[in-house]
Amino acid sequence: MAKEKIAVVIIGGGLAGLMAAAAAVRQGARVTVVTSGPGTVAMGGGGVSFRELDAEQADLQAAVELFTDMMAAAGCRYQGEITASRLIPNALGGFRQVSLAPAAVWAAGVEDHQEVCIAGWRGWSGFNAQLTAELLNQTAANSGLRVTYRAAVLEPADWINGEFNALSIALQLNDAEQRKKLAALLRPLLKGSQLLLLPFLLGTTTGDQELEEFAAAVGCPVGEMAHMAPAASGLRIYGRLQKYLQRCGVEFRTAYPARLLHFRRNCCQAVVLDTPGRPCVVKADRFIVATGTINSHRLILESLSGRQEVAETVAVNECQQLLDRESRPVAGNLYAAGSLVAGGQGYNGNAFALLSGYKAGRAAAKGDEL
Amino acid sequence: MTQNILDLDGCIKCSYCNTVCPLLTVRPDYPGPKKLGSDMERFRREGLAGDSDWLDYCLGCGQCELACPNQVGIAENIAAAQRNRKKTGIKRIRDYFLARPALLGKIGTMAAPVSNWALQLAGPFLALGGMSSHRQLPAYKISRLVTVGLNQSETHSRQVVFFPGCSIRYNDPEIGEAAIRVLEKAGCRVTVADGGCCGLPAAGDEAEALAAARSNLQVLAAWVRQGYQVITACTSCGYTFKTRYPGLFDQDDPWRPVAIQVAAQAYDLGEILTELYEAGSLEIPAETTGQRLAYHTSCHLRAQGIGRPWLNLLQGIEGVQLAALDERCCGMSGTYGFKQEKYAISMAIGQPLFQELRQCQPEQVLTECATCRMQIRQGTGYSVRHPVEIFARILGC
Repeated sequence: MAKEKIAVVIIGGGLAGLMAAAAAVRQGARVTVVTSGPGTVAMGGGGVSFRELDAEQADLQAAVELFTDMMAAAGCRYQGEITASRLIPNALGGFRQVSLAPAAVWAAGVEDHQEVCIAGWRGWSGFNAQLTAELLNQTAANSGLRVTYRAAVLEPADWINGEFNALSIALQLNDAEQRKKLAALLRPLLKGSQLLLLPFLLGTTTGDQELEEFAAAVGCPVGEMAHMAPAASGLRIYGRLQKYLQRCGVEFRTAYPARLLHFRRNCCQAVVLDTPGRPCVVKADRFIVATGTINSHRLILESLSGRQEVAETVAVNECQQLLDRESRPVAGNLYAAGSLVAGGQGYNGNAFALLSGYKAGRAAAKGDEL
Repeated sequence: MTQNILDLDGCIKCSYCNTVCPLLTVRPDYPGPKKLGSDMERFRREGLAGDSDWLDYCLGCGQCELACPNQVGIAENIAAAQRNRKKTGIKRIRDYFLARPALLGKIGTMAAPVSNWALQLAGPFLALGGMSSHRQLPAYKISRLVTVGLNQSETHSRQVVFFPGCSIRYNDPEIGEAAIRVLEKAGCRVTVADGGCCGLPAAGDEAEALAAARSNLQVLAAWVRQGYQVITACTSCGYTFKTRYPGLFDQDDPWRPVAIQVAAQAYDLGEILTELYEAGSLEIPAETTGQRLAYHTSCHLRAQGIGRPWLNLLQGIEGVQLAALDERCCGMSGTYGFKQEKYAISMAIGQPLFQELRQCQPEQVLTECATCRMQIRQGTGYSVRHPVEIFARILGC
């Protein structure tokens, strides 16, 4: 057992936690991610916007490089760059600015003078291609975008089984044969469109190569857009990232939430998981809290002097160390990242997760002191 | 998990459970855990009809609960609904016996090798009993699990009671023998527990599940009170002790604290060996055979929330070449894969794992779960063993 390596435990399996894991493992740490389930990243499309962040700030470039390298290696390639700006449509007729996005989301972005075909199924309650096309055209006109959307409606085909919603279809489209069938159904509907737009449904595990094969079978670029959570795009990101990190040696302790962090003499000793039978105690040298603000569990800091709950939002110093109310580090070996850290919410949530996760992972693995 | 209406409010309809359900991947017409275990549970708790023949097709692998960000008892709700379904005809008789592997084991080992010969002959006729005639059945072996006294030091020795479970007691006693040798080598004082089936196969038969739990708890609690830790090398037995026993009894049932006490002292063999290794009680020599190994994670190990102790333990040994297979269900799920109407589903779920193994081409596959071993053997023809068998060889004991 590699005992000489620094052991880092990360609490939280969202984008910040996974990014911290990647940064720490690259620094040579032995990393364990503790998460009660897929993080919030699995709910969305995975677009990253740097609009309200200082693009010149330290570590941002390095964080984005590590992230895009990692995603490409995980089979979920990102396109774009920090300074890029692209508008991507969603099913409710809005456009969102992103700087980076998974290739299939990036492909959905607005290009001048483009004619886009939006495909959907008749009777599908979660998504109405006709309505989305109308709303997007209206928003585009109001915003001066020169792009037109046209709906193409499929009849519920015989290969659709089970619940008639995007996730159910996405699960069936994990199968290459089913994707081929869909491509054959869609091809005649294109009628000269330069882009085919679909809601997130091309599989929850599908990789880049398979998505490219699908586009080739359809005969034009294929983009995906956000509609309702959970998004197949986010599930792909989470699932592929998890597998990639596992290949890099990161251990995942999923399913049971972390309940307690044990402190002795201003040093965090262990995290206690709410496992069946008895609580599981995971010891480590450094700890990163990245539990987020959505669907997160109460985490208690327990020391000899008492118990205290981690607040809904916390502050960190420049080393990403978690600060108490008097702005002093709670412990020398406790860091925080992601939306838990005040200021991490809003338009730049994913960008902030990448940056703070990267900084916390690096700091924890290197043990930067103040 | 506390059974009250509020825990269903933890379901935020994120559908993560549906994304990990192995049955849904091969049968898209299956309603899925979100509907069967959460949505329909609301109706059932109101006393309204929430029945479906699909309920019987849930594998009980528990992956849905593990993926749930709010720990809704999805699989548990489905299991409870299964228990309330009426069974008829041959399936009722078949399920009676499948719920009692210890009974089958006693009959099987009493009459082995005659019973094994009979089992082979019975193949083509199994369908008459609702069993799949394609399924290779495990053979029974007679062996009395005994301690061998490898631990020399009388001091500092940890006291453990080894619970073999049905498959080790009646089919694979060599695993139990290896487990005992390894525990003794690590300085433990080992006792082998009496007791039968853990009761997991009887999940659909409440009376039998309770009877099994009470009889095991009586035996194990006596050891636990004397300071013994309960060790199991079967991930399904361990899963049952830790996750099922406490939930079988009501809040005011006197058995409940006993179940909690035993659950708190239940250890997977890999879990305790990791502890002993980290405490310096175990010296592991380097592996020299160069054998290429592949490790499969059983669903019931994942459900224990202890990570993958055997994987870490073996990967930490110098010279060991061990590939971790993707964490996915093999499709066997205990007695599920034996049943005639479920055999095809069981094999279809296993295909991605079989495919991965064909690509990986190991010389030896390892997994703790007895029925995973059967399924992988049947699906790939590979030799599949319990990690402790390799570990004992490396330790030279």
